[in-house]
Amino acid sequence: MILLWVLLLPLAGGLVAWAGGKTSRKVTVIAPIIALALDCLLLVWLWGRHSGFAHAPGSFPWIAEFSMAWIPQFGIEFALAMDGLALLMSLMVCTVSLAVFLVLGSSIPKNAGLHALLFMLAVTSVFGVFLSADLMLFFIFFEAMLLPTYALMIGWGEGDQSRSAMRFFVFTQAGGLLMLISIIAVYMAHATTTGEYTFSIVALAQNPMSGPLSLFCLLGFVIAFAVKLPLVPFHTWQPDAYAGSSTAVTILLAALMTKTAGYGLIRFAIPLFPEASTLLAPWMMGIGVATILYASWLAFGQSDLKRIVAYSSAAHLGYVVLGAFAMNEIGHRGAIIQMFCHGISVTGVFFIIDWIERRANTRNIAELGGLSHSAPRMGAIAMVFVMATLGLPGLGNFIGEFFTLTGAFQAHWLAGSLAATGAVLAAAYSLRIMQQVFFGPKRDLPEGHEPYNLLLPVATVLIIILVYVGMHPGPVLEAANSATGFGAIDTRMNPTDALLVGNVR
Amino acid sequence: MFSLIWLIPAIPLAGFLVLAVGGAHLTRKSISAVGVSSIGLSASIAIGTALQFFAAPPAGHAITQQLWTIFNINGLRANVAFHLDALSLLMVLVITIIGFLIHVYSTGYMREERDYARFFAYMNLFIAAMLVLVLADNLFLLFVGWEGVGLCSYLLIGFWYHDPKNGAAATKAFLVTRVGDVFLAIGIFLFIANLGTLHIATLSRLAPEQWAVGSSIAIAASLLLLGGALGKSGQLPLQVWLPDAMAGPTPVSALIHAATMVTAGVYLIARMHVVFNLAPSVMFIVALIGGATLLLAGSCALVQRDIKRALAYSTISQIGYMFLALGVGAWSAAMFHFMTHAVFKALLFMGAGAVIVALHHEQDLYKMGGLRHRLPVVYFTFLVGAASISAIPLVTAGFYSKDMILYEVWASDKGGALLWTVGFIGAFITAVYSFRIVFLAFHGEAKSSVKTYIGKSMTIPLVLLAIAATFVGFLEIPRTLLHAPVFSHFLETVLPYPSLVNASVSTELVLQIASAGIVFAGIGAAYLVSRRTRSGSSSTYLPAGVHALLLAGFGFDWLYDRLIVAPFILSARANRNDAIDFAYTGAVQIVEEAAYAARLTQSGRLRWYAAGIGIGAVIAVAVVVYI
Repeated sequence: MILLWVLLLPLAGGLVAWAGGKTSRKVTVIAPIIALALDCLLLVWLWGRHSGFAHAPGSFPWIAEFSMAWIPQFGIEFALAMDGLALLMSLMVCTVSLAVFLVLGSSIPKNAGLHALLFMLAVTSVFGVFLSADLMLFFIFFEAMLLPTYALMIGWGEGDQSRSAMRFFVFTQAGGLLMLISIIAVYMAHATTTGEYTFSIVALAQNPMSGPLSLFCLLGFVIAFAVKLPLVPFHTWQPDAYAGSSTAVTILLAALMTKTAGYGLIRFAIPLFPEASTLLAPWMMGIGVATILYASWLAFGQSDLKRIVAYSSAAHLGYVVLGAFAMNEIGHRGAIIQMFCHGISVTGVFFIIDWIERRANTRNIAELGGLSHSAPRMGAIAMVFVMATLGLPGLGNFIGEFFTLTGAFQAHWLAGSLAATGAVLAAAYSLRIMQQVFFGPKRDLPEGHEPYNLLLPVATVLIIILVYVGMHPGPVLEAANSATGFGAIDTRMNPTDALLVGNVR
Repeated sequence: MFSLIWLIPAIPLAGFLVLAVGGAHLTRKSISAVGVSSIGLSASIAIGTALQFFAAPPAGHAITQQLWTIFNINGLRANVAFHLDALSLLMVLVITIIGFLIHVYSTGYMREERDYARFFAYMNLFIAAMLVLVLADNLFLLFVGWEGVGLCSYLLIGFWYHDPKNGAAATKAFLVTRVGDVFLAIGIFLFIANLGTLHIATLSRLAPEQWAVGSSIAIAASLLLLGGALGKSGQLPLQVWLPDAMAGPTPVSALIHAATMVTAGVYLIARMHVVFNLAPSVMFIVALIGGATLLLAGSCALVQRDIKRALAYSTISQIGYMFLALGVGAWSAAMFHFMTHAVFKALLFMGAGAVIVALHHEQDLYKMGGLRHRLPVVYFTFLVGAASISAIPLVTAGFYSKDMILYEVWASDKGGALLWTVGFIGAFITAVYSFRIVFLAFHGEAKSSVKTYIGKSMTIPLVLLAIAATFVGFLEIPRTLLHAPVFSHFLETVLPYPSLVNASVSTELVLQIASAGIVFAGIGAAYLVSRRTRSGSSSTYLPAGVHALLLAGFGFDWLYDRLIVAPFILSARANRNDAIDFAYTGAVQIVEEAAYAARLTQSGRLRWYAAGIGIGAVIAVAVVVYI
């Protein structure tokens, strides 16, 4: 039952905001904040109750479950389940959504009630993705994210929003279709071998598919996730979508929805097709490396802050794929930490960009400069998030990158080494932001001080989370641990095939 | 006292936090109090720890204090744990004591600075990160400190951020050192993959057990470590960032870009010497790079007009000496030179800073002159520093450390006459560029108005460092004199002695006399050079082409700009619309065109439709029949 609460609380908050928003502007902010804060507390309580995450290898270590018959004719259940990975991701989503309403809630220009409802619908779907223990339910939530997001992009976007929203929709929809075909194939194959018609992830993972068909099925999943993450070469919808959306929606896209894809890879794609995943792993690591390097290079060429961060975000999610397909434990943990910390840090970055845009009426770095003169505290906070972006040790993002690279290096030294050079590129585009926006001579900006509202305290909390994970990632790692004890994952620390060259005494 | 080790980095970190959070609300007095006393406290604890270490050494001459576990994945573990042995104790002492003096000096130098709190916050953070670097018992924590000092270096080079030039220098420093950091990171991945641990002591035990001498894995590992060291320590080919880094305030140059951070590479190699011992070919590369760097950077220092740039090239060159020593296995000699260099180079930078303040921020040597009467304290202390770096025999610290290096380079089985010659020529160059600065700045006629009052907060550290620059050399007196090798004896629990082959006393004596001679020759040359450039209209004493080449640091910047920086920026700009997207927009266009073409068939003419049906039927039947 708890999981149902976790899932439905945001939706309830959204409905209250929508219903009350017609009479009171305040409700549109306060209702979601209360709902999300309660949800956060619920998740923290769940975590506290289940310290340890002990589980037998080869099983899913659920810490909470809920299931209800739904369409028994097809073996579809409304089954929710949560393990450490789902808990981590849900907690991140909840924190980020709460931060969004705290910082941006009062600055929604129109129809704030409807905006809150649509946003919370999307958040609910994201929760649904993390909590589904039924493949069909997962798919429905995965697709359900699109509609409110599309509406938010059209209704509250900027610039050529119908084009960017359409591109977003077509790209992700095409990926979703491929995944649907794969899901049905998995379902049928499982039924033929075992005689049981079920979409239950537990049942499906216990009898994983093999053979050439499984490779195609895996590809269906992988392409759907590659579009959403996004990976090169499926990334081109993303910068337009980020730049064409309001900040709240950009955060929804960048911090929250991308994680459903990374989560899907780790929770569904790899455990369901262990054999095919091993086969595909070198190629996926190659794509991960290509994404890191290519997207970082593109980020350096941009002048719109949101586009810089869009590409940088893609580069950081390249590490997730690299770690996930390193097929070893440390790589997996790295991928999970990377997802968690990327969600937190990219949210902070977009808050800062939002503030810059309101302060200076532009996001073009060529027209910006010297903001630290008038806003030194903002400059300091921006510096921390920029450092998180470029992977400074001591902040959580570094743990994610360090582990994924360690895992990748163990799988193949070249993959880890090439991806590591991304650190130089990340520094190049990140420091360019500081240099062009906050440093340099003081520029004449439009009169008036843009108030911080709750930006400073919220950003401080996000920074504390990043520092905590960076210097004491133990609890987070422990939670992530519960996601990696099954399937094709090599848990040995020192697989001998990882040796660089023979020459060992 | 050993239980307080954690406070040594923790107090400066606390100082940073206080200044970063509350700096805006503090008065200047309290900012100085926090910023300086945090380092003072840290230094006192370090000295107390050292006294206990000397009096009652811990078992195995090393002690580890563990605070918490950062992560532990199937035995791959990294702790926040501080490892104190002779090597890290030496580093800690140098960092905290010289750091303290530089902080005191900064209260005078930065007196008129608007962002006073920010400056001391960054300086405190730097000291904390540097202490973490040297005290870390594992490579993960070392890397945290390693990148932390890089961040502080970036922040402090670009401290005066209103000028984009400073920002560019800061960014350049960060990016160039990050190239090295990537090598170091890959090296760490290699250790994890092959030895399964990050713990430095365990690595040093496992590597010789599992890797053969000269094996390619040992070569790869030490090359990767070397890559990291080259970036941080400004050695060829990654030296280009250090001269530009002088854009930062002068105390920063003294602390970060002379005494401490830039020697992190030397520390790294000394700390990981067991791995380097397994790769003799890499050791030779280390020596070669050190030798080449000391000559190249030393010659660049000969012609610089900017006093700080001249000192920056001198720093690169002196670190070249340390690398030369490391390359022949003279570990203790490298660390000894690190210590004396930290003293006399901090002294020289702080003296230069006093000159710059007195001349209202004039840094051009050719516009200086005659300052010895106006700034006597600065003059005498600077003279002591210059004498020390030039290694004037017997009375200067630089003599003892440089001669230890030269002798061991000559005598080591990995060294020889060729490498010694490089160091010997370098000694001449060092004397020339150092005394050229002395003669140009302090002798001759006064050229500009001078603010003669230099506060006590600046002169006292100068005097103390001048005393140290004379006396720390006596920690290692060679056997040709009194034979009191206290320093290498102290380090022998961590760093082995080099294996010497030509080790007779008479050889050592001849070498010392030779280098004493070359130093005085160098000072004489410096006198001639400075007289000629000062009196004549020409600003150079070398052929114009050579002069331009040296002034431009042998054109490395020029080369990198054209080979790497410009292509990267231009290509990124050219591809800002992302070539891959053309595939998608192209596909959309094709579909649109095809739809338009298909629409043409909807003509409304019956015979075309009938023909279409007929052809379709034929094809369908053919497919069914034949396939």
